[in-house]
Amino acid sequence: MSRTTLTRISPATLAGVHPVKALHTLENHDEAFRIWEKAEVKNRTLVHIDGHLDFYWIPEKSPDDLSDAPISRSFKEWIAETEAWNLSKTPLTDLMTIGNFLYPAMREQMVNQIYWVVPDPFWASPPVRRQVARSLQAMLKNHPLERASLKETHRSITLTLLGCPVTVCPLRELPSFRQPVLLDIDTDYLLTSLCDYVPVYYSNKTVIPWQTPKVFLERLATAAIPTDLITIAYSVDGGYTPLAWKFYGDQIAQGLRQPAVPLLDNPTPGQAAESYRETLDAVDRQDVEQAAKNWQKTIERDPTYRTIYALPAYREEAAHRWVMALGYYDLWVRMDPTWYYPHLGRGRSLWHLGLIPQAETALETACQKTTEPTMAWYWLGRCAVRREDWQAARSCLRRALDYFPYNPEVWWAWAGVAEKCGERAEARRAADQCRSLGYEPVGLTALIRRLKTDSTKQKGPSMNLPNLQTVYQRKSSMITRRVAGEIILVPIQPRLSEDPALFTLDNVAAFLWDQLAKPTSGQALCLDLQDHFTVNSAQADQDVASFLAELIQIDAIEVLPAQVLTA
Amino acid sequence: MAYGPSPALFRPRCGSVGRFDSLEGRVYTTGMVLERSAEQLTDRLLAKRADQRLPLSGQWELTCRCNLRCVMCYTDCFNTPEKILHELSTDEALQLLGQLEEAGCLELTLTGGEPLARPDFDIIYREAHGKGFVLTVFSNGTLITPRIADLWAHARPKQVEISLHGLSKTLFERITTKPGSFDRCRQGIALLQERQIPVRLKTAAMTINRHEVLALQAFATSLGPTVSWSVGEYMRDTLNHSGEPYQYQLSEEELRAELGANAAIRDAHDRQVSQPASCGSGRQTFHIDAYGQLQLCSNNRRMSYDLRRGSFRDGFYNHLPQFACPRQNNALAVSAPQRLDVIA
Repeated sequence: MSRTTLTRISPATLAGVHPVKALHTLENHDEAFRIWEKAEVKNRTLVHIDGHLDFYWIPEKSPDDLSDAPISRSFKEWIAETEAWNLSKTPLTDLMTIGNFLYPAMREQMVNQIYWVVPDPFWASPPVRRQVARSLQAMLKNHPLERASLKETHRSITLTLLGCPVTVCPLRELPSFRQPVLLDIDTDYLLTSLCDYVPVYYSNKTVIPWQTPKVFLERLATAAIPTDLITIAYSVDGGYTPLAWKFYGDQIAQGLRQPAVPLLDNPTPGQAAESYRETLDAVDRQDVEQAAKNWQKTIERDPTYRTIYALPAYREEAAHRWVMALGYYDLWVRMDPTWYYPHLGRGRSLWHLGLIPQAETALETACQKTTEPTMAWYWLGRCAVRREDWQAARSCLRRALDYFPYNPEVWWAWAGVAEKCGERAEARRAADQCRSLGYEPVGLTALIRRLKTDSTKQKGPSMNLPNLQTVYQRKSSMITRRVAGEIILVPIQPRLSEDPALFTLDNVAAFLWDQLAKPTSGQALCLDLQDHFTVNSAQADQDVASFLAELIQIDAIEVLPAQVLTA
Repeated sequence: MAYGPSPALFRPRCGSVGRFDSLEGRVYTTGMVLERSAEQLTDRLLAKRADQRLPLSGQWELTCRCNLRCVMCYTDCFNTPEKILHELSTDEALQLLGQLEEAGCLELTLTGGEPLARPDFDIIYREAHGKGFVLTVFSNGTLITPRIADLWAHARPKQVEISLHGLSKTLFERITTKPGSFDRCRQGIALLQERQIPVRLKTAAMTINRHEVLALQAFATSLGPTVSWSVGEYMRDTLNHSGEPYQYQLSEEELRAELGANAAIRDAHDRQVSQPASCGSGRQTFHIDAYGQLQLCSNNRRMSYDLRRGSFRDGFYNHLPQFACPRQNNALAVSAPQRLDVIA
């Protein structure tokens, strides 16, 4: 990105027809805001070609605003905007992400009209189009002033956001523009087929682009869009564009800069994209030596390819396939031993597999490979938690916070360990920090409530966040008693510095507890719950997750490797 | 940021549709209730039962054996080889535990004599703990070894209650009549403290130790939050009705004169005096002696049901309701005339 070179907007050209000079490629899409800001754009029409709207509410209302409400109706409406309240009073742009940068662009009056050009598959059939409408309706749900603005036709969906008209349509339905527009393209537009906001990197299926840059540019030329400023985002971070397809962004940029030069369907020979693809092929063949050579070539050609999204292991980890993840991380440690991340991921996978000493060795190695080992110290802290060595956990987490004090996960762990060490004030401060950083893990509210209300009962932190894909089983240290028709859990493991406690389960919780006699995934519990009770899936997910969180908190269940289900 | 987010932190960039799903209109609830105490749970369970009978809490006198010979002890008269022969065997004890579990007993107090004097104590204790009973152990503290303390550290009791009737070695051993018992008792308390096992020190206020009672309270307080203290003021007659312990009983005047100024002791006294006319004996609580006799409570052994001949369930539901209780029917004193005098 060349933020500093752009000082004014170039003369308008037709995108895909004439060569464009004012074109910027971006790693992350929210960088577009800074480019528009630098170019001092005002009251422009934005054509946003993307698999995602990139608009979401940023809480910016202060409680002080209520005193400005002219009538009681306004007061009620403002209160109803539950997403709008910024109680921490963090500046708007500090809250900007790739998912919401259009919000400040509207608030700063950079744009006053938006066309969200959705991928053609979004418009392919009425059910998929309904998915688009539902996502918009959901977004408007908590904003009564704009909820009624949504209108659907067979050509487009229109609505207003912050008073700005927004039109959602495929490329072919764009109107003719008389004035030059801001053209904003995300590479993931070519790779996204469902309006579910789930990054394609995490998909189990092979990602196949629904359109090539060559065809896209031809259609763009047909649309005859006058523009004087183009931004193109790769969006590899976050997993929206798989790294193997990042070169599509380069091809679009090249096609817009030089429309007369024909595009190739594959990566340009000699570029990082080519050697990265060869790396993946060699990894598939288990040819470690060749994979290592190709990988070294890749990062020499383009160091930005050395990202976690280059690693298939990270996707495996996200799917809780720890053994697969460990295999890939092992491979990458051999291919690129100086890179911090594979050591870290290896340690994390070993932790999840319960191999704590090995995990600690891997994480200690990770610490030596970087100048910012925040997460390595964090996971070393979690290893210490597993060993119930609270002082060691404290020391590791302190070091993690020393390196980077804005990671809410670390604050969450710190809160748990502080509570365990009896440092209630520190635990409360950490829990507040966690919340102020926008992280609301299961158990946070309970922790805060516990710290607030009951000074005599303290329980351990929820170090394992319940995930419905994870496999759980009852611990033998929790005895189930049936007394007078009730299910009572009696913990028999020592819980130092805690009063003995008993837990009574209601009928639904007792049902779930029964299922946990054998290894069971959270997802299976949700399905069982739906089979036996009148409950929709969202509610079942919510209830299972919160119940699992409670069980983790009282040390009643353990996490098992997913392989136990297939064994 | 120089690090990658861990997968647990992943969030859709604009919020998934599922995020907005309403949780209103729940048709059922799910969850877990933390019971603040077994007593609270007992109250709640009983409130749901019309007959108010449920064997939730029991006291089991595992043995009358004891390594000490305390001057005021009411079980020591049965601490003889002949009587010990008739106590429940290990197998019988384990079988009885199964019956108590099946019947829904939740809290069990293991007492004696000295329960640790049973050579199979750890077998019985482990079995009871593994079955999920909430256990309290009454002990004189002198047989608590590192092995026993480790057992309790790993299979944690709700509380261990230790009799401590004197703070000076001379007085303590005058009461226990065993040289060396003072040091062993203090060592036992220390072993439990090291493992943060909750301990209650219990003192019987008697004619021979009344000058040390307040010091004992101060001593217990100095041991920190895992140690509490309580005092008893009334002697109990021996099981063979000899009346010997009463020679150590403080009169009401002496109690008031010696100890009345102490708030904790006054409270304890008030609690004992103002106990309700109707207790839970036979309805929520029960007592089993060393020979397998099911009784209403340790203080009322006039009528028994032999658990060697019948089941606990049969004894609790069909026989215990027939047993006479002086508190419930305001009848004759059972075994402690002084105490009943106070109640009256």
